[in-house]
Amino acid sequence: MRSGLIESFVGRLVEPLVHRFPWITYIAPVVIILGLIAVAVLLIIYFERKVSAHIQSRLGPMHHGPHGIIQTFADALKLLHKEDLIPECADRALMIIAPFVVFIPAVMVYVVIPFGPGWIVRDLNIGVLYLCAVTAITTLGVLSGGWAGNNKWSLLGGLRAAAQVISYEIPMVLSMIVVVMLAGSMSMVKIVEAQNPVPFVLYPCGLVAFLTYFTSALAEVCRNPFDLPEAESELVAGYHTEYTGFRFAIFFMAEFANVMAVSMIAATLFFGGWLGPFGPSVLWFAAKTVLFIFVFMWIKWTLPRLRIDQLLRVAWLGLIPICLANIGLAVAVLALKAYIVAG
Amino acid sequence: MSPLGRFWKHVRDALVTTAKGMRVTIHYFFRAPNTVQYPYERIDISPRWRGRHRQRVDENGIPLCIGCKSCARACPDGCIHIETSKNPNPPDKRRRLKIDVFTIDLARCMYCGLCVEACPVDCLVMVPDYEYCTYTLEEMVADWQTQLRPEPLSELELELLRKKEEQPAEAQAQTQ
Repeated sequence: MRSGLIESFVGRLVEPLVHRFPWITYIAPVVIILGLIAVAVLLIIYFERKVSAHIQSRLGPMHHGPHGIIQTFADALKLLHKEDLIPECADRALMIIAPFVVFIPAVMVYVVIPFGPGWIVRDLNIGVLYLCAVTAITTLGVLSGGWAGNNKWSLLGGLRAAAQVISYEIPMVLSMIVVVMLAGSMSMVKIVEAQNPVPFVLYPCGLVAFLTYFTSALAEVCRNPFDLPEAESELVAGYHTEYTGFRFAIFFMAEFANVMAVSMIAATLFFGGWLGPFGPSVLWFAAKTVLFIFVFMWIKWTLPRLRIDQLLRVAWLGLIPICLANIGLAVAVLALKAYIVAG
Repeated sequence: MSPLGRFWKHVRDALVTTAKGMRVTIHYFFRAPNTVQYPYERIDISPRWRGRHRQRVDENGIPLCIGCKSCARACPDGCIHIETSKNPNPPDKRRRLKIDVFTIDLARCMYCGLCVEACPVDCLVMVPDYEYCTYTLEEMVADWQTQLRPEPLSELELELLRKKEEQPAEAQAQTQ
């Protein structure tokens, strides 16, 4: 079994290599995706700092390299120089393992994301279900990271994260169901192909699903206005208060990898993924992803943080009823379509 | 209002207010930043900006100060200290007092400019210079040889000064 990404990306170049070392098909996608995440996270952090600065009428980093482009690399290097500190009363094993429990699902999400036609590691026929399952694991890592630090800020942050992420998982899945109904498949590639003439966001039920998905995705990756797990003004740094150096960097990377992942999922499920009127499809996918990442930052500097009870009320009394009604709307749309097709 | 109507109003309010807020933030995003990268660039300040004090000198490099202590009396903070003695060979009729000490404690000064207005011979001026911080408070006491280093007169002012010296009586009448 050869992965789709290798087949199309470096194709014939590595064919003899793959023939000789079959295990390379399992290692190569991991290496490529880890590299992609590492580079993309650095760029996204730079992008975020610049966008934040310009929205606040500032300049942002300007010193290192032209327009401060190396600033993030410098900060990452500084982070790696820091001592790896584990508090005396901490739960050592959990403390060590928690960042990876957060980071690995963030990487695993990329397995089913189609970057372009054929540019997918594994086109699972239960792609959407896999996404929901994998993103839910993150909560476990956040919760254990919050618990392990033996610090009240960490614990509060971890508990908030658990309540928030689990609550928002439901409207997120419910809005994905609408897409699955419209596409008639759970495979990410088939979902993109089903949007060939009209992306799902242009359907009325698709638009509502997109808005609910985007809101719950904001909460899912703990971005403003739903950044309660790491509310800086209340909880120091939330669940990663006690983390330093490389472990902290892993948490940080996972956070931005998640931001990128949910942007990519939004682009795939609602905006037709790699489909575009002209030009290379991968660039279309990248452009849509960057647009959503920008909107994330745009919202971050527009809305203030919600209170925890408001946050849960938005999920349970706002988004979930809307999502359920929207599924009804989708059923009506599909029934109408079937009626027209049947004549 | 029915519960469903209230719910719909909340949803609409959430969307509309978010959109309004996002319009404001994107407006700022596309506007030029306000930041001035200070050590590399400086904002233009008015030539009348009240900064560090300077004493002005005549063409021979001697301050115009006549030692009248008007500035010290005018100072609300009392930060100007002047000591004078008789000048054995005065440069002109008005400067008959020799200025032994003339210091301004810039750390106590509040830059109100009253001393400048009080000066009868327009010797004490303030110039648009704000970069003179020091490591100690003692260094902030400005001596006229150091921080108050003389400010040369413009051509026009030199001309006026020459005219005054040609007609001393008239000049004295003007100051009184």
